[in-house]
Amino acid sequence: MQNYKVYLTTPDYPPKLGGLSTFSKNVVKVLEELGFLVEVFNWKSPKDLLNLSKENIQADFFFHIHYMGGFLTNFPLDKTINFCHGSEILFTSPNPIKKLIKKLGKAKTLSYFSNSRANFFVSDFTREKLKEKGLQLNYGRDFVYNCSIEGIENSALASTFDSEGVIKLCSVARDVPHKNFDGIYNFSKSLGRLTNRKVQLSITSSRFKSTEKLEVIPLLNKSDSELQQVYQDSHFNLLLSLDHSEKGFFEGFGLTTLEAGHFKTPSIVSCYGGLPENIHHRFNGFVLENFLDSSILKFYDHALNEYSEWSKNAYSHSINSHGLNLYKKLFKAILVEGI
Amino acid sequence: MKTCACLLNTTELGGAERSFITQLGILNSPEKFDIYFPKIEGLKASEETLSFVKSNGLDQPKGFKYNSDLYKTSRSSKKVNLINVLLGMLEQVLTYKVEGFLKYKNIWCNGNKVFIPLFLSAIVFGYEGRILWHLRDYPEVGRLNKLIKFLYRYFAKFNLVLIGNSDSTVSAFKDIFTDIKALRIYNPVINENKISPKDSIKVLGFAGMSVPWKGLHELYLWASLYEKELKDLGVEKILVFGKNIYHTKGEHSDYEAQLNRLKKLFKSSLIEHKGLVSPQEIYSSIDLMLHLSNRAEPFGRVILESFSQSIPCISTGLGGAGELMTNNTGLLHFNNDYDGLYQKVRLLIEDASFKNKEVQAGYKTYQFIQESAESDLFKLESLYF
Repeated sequence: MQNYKVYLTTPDYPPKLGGLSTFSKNVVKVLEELGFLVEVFNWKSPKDLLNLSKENIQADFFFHIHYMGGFLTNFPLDKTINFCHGSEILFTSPNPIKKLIKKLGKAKTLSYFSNSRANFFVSDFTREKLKEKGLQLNYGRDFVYNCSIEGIENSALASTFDSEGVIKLCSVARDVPHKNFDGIYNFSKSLGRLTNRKVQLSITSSRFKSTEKLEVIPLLNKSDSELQQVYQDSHFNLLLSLDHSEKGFFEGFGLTTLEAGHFKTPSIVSCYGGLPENIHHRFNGFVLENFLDSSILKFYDHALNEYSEWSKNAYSHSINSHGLNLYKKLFKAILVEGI
Repeated sequence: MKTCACLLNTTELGGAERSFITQLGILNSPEKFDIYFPKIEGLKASEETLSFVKSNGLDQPKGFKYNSDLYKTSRSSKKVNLINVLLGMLEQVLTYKVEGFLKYKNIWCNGNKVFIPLFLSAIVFGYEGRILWHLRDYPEVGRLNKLIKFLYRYFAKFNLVLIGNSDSTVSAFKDIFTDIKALRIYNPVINENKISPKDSIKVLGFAGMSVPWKGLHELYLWASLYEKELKDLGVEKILVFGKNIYHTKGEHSDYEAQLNRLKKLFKSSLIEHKGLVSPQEIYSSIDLMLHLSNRAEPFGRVILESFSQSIPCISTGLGGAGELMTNNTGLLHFNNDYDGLYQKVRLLIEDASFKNKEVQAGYKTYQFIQESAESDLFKLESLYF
């Protein structure tokens, strides 16, 4: 690889927890496995980027896990590669000052993306969103490249799902409005009511109360291995996010479905954001058309007949179609062979 | 006078024209149909179109005057003067009357270019026959269709029938044109030159216009990412057929330049461009077809043609194309699932029984669609012609 050097900027990096941190770590890992020299700059605020002294920074490529890393630093754009995960590409914010700053910087931001070497979007939805906001899409520069995570070998048998016993659901995410935890809670309650079965919901929130048919288990301060066990023990993972683009939030892809998939747990998702590109309807899970009783019953009916296929596909799809080997291929193609 | 005037939508032999001519050929009633093509100043009807009509046992099509400004608005990326377009529309409305189209009991339009001015002409001159509006795509949810709906409801003296290529498109029509009859007629393919089934898969094919929604950029990316694996499987080439025959404005106007940029970043020695060639040439030179449309397709002719030649086809199966993949769900591909696409190709190459099963299932689909298309056509004929 001729000792090419990559300078990578990211707002999140281990030991900090979170999807972006994991993503950054995985990108670095893959680049190093390919033989690249990687220098990581973990910025905590935009000020860190503005204060970055660039004189001594020489690199063949500049990777920006959050586009701000490149936008505020003015590294050569023909060597710049951006990753766009979701709503960070929107020019709005609930904070009025941030919103104003974003709106004022919109033209420059779009120009930044337009002149970069490559932009990788986590979903078609995210790419289309930026196009909607004014980016002149270029299929030779703006690529969709779904999330990948490190594979977890799992020889455990797939869960079974039949018409008896407790229906076990889980939801592992931040309790913020667009993640629609209220919708998840209501779905779980409705499922119990419509099927006349007990439902257990393990959820990363302490807001919700159990009812006669629904047992709520708050998941607070759980370790990675504990959360993995929750996925393993559940029949379904729920991610029913809403599209709050006008407020500055949407689900770009939904990484938890891949995590659940590693434990052969299919996911039920809403039809918003990048979710339908992640969960392929009735292949590795189910995409709810809406939250009405009729949709929930449709889901239940299909689940009873197709669960084992969903479970099997959730695993194989997560491992094969969203494994880190895909990043290896991508970086090898674009950074080595594409030079 | 013959019962029906059949209006081709363009001078070139695209998929829609090919389907329409084939459908008329199946009906085999040249005594009922006069076929017309739009005659635009400076543009000849393609020799290919004329000879395809002849090969389907139909009378030679006649040209009818079509305003060039109107034609260019939908087929060119150049800006057109709005006044000229409006005058062009007016001229076309009069032309339909003057050239005697409104004397036919039925007028069958193979697309919007010929339909819209005809519709207006029919309204203005109180036509009392029947117009069959054969939409070859999904209807747009926009002001134009709302206007058509409004004018038809309050001013038309004629009967309007919508024809779609699939249940999916008919369903979309019914959502918009709630009180207009809509029928489905599948696109048949003519399989005169059946190619011998292929034993091995060495050459992959992609046939489609050079426009973003056909997914050619995804193919280039994939071919680059999986070049080594594909070669290890014995794949020798990926042939790309087709070009952009519609030089229209919109997102695809500089798509080819974008693809050139993509190819510089993602190199692949497997891909070869073959341009516009006959279906016979396509299917005799490939062993597996890739159909990567990232939007709902009204039909998916390429899928059916592949199946008719016992060539497996991996497809995204979106929209009407999904109706052609019901027996081949094992070959359904998800957009941007690069590894998934590779796994399906690998399975077809390495597992002969899987491949044979898919080929047989595909051929069954082809036979079913042919029978449905014929049955739909004869039903249409008995109703209206």
